[in-house]
Amino acid sequence: MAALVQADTGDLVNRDLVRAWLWWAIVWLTVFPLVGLLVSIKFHNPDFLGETSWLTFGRMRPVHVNGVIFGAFSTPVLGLLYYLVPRLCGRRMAKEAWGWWLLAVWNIFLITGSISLLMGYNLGYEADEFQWPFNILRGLVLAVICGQVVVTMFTRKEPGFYVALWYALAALVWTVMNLVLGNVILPYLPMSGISNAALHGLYIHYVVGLWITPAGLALMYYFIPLSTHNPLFSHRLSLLGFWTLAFFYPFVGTHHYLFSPIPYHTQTVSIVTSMMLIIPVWAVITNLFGTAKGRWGAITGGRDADSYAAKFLLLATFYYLVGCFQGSTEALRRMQELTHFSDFVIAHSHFTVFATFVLAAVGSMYYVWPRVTSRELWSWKLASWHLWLTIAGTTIMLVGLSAQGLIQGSMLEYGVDWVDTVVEMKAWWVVRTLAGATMDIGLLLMAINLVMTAREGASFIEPGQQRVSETRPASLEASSWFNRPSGIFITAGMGFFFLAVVVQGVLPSILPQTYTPTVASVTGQILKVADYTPLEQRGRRVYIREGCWYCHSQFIRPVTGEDLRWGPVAQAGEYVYDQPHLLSTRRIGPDLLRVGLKYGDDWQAAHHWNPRDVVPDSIMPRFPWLFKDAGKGTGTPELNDDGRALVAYLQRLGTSIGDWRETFASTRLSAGAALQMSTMQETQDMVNLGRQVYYRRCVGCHGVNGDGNGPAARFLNPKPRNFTTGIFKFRSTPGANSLPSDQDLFITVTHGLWGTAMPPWYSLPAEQRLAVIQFIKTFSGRWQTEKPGPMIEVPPEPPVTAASIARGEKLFESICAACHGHGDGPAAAALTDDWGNPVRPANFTLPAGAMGGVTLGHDGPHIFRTIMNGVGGTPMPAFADVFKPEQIWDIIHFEESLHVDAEVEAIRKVSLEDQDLPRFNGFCTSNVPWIHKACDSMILPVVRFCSLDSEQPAVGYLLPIDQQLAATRRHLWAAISEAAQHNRIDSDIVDIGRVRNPTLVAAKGRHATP
Amino acid sequence: MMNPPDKAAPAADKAETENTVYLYENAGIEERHGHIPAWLWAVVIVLSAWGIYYLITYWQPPLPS
Repeated sequence: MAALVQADTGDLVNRDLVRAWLWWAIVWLTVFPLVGLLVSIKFHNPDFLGETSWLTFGRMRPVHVNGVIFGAFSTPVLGLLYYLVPRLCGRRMAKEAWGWWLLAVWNIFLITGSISLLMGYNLGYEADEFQWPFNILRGLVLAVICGQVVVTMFTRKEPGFYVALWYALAALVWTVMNLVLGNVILPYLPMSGISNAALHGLYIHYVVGLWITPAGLALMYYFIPLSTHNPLFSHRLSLLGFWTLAFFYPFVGTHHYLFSPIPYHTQTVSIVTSMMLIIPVWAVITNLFGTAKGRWGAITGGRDADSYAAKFLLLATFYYLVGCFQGSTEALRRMQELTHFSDFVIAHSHFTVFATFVLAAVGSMYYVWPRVTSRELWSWKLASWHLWLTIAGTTIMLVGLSAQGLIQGSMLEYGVDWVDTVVEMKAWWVVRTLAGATMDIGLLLMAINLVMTAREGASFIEPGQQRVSETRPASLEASSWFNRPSGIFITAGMGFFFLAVVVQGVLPSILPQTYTPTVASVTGQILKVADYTPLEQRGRRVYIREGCWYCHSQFIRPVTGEDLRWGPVAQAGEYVYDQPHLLSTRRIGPDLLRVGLKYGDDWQAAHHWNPRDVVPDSIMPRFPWLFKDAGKGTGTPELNDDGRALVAYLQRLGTSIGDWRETFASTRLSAGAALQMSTMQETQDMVNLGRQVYYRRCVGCHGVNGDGNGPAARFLNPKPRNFTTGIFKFRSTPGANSLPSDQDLFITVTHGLWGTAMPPWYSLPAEQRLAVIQFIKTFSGRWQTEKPGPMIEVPPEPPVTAASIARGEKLFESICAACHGHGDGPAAAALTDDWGNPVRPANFTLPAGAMGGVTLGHDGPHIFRTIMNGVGGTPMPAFADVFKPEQIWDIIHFEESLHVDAEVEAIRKVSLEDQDLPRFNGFCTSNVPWIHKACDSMILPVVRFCSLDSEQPAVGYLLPIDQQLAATRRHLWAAISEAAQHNRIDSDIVDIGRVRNPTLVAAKGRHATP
Repeated sequence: MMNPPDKAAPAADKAETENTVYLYENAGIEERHGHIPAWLWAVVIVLSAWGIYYLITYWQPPLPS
């Protein structure tokens, strides 16, 4: 027999209190998504609101994220708890009046916390950025409300314990504990960077999975049956959904850092549990959609508040299905290779946070607002507009962002230059902004509608509900422990949480690999990692303050060619002193783990003054406040203390693994057949392509006219090359200031010039590098009147002996030391180039990338040609007529011994751990630069090496294509390993620990290439 | 002699239990006891099997080829 159920909430719910919370919910639902819209505009118009430090992307982004989580979502949730908990418990909320104070404190937290983020007070943890005063305010409110809810539930008069209460209870208990994890343990308990990342991964996902999800599901389970006027579909599905979520969700957080140095099995557990989340999600979806069964017509055709509540809630349910399936599969390793760090992740977060749970809160408000204002919904048309704008905006944004992630990931996997992938994204970002604006307009209409409802809506009387069948008291099903508050509080709320924290956070942290401050160099040495200097520490704080970490990861993965793009893969030991860790989860800019010494300090200054001066396609904000007087004085702006500290920190990044650049980029490159252009048309096509490349990559420094006076040039020292003179530094063609060959320029463009603003461009396709060379040649008339000479022959390198080094030292001291010394010869200070700019003679002891060191590597043939030809446009003359070839080799041997000595000394300074040295014996005969270098650097493990395929030197395989380069590199290391395994190693032991370096080199010479 | 058990009785009980509707009186919410669809049990079983396989296979990183 059907009957009407009239719930009387008058004695249970404090409508004034709920209404007050929801008023503020309307405010925050309008404000914080709008901040996201402003942030979104910056992607395609990076100068938008860009001159104020408070309004940069790095400052506004956390306001948007935290504002949506804790303002737009949590404010209505907390307010609605004061509505649904009393009704489900059959008694008023415990200490209900405290709700007024809590609302005030909550708003103080949101307002002051947001201002603090804009001011740059940032803790450095994603979704955990607030400093301690604001964390106290937030924690206080949530803990007190948790207490109110727990007391109300345990003293309830309603015998049944409905599923919405399970989720509400668990969400509050989990979140209070998670705040302890995120606000106390993460920032203040000393731990290594990798332990920090492992725990932070859990924290981030606890915010999403153990607060937003269960709190949102509490609303959906409560308001969907009410707004659809149907019974909940299945209590058993509720059980399956809740308990599988409670068990699996606490483990998943590590999937934010797959392929990181976090232990592999920890990552695997997070992947499996992420996939297992399909079970609770599909259970919930089935349950909620099942609840609407038979009512779809009434819902879709309804024009009252309940119908619009149901529409939004069911729309949210649909997005929950899509967003969570995306999230689960995104955790799979192959998917993550492709999509991680990209907008695919942003699509997922917007799917789940906004499109699912903010919309669930919105739907719930449509249901409750007439009941707490006693007014009918003012305009169903506005509600309809809100609904359809939301559907349009979210669909476009979420499909677009997902597509963006797949496109950018595919481009990166294919090897496309990073900046080119950013350029590809710009049009998509415009669409994202338009979609966001559509959603925000919808929210604005909702705000107007609800305000007008409260002011002018018709009188509202709560209708009775149609009961569809005979019912039994809910107490009859609430007999098992998993239906009771105590079971949920203890087992789900605390038990599973602690289990997951121990398994996924604590156990990985006690593995020595996560906290031992050692790393392996690219050549196998075990090096100790030094802590940051005070200056670097300050720079790190600036890096956190400015939010650099929202766009730049510090975490090179061993997949998708990231090691070829940015350098060697990340190691746990590199992060030992990183608290907060800065691995990051997003790449809007390139990874910075190995950016140290990639560019000179001068380039960094120019880049922070205006990124588009040096990278015209960049979307990075300007940072004029990192310069003295904000750069408003006359002359070239100079970095202030914060700016210098930031640059010092950046230059430190990735250098703990030693001098890896020397082994990373070869100068023995061949431009190959690509240079053979047979027709004028082909030549012109290349020039045209080169022009495009030049204006996107080179113009910032070298200028529109190629005269070295680009907008960034004033910051740079040494100055960018003036192409109009046709004089270039490094050439293989004979004679001082001779015209270089295309291959010479190709090497410089590809390798870059260490310690200067000229970066390596190996990530560009070879065709583009060759094309820009053709265009550069149009700046000088020399190319029309002269032809490059033939490449000078470099005679075979004679054996390196102690005698050759001694002879070289003598020559160096008598002729070269006057300028070079150790970069500071007596004449060095007075040297200028042909344009009057001061120049620094190379200091051969410095590592790759250090300012003042060699700019094109220590490779023997390269230095040979440089001594023969001089350095174009500088005081370094050609010595072809001064030295005999064997004398030049002697000088090179001495210079290389300086470098080896310096490197050994540098290694000693970082406490080489003798007990961990690989114990190989032998000698090196390879003439491949990085193998040779490797042998030099490894001190003990020196092995005989030849190509596996033939007796040809492996240098024949070095091609200017990244993939082939990588294949060759793997090939070489495989050969070394195989040689070691088969004992094809010389028995001589050369121990640098007991013998001076010349003896090492002499020993090598004794076993020189046959 | 005892009568043979009525095989239809448990099925009827099950159906009756599934169709039972509970009432949360103060909230005005009704809740079916309901059931878990067979296809969802299949999802649970398949995912669990896959999870165990994946855990075992990828507990350690695969050796480089």
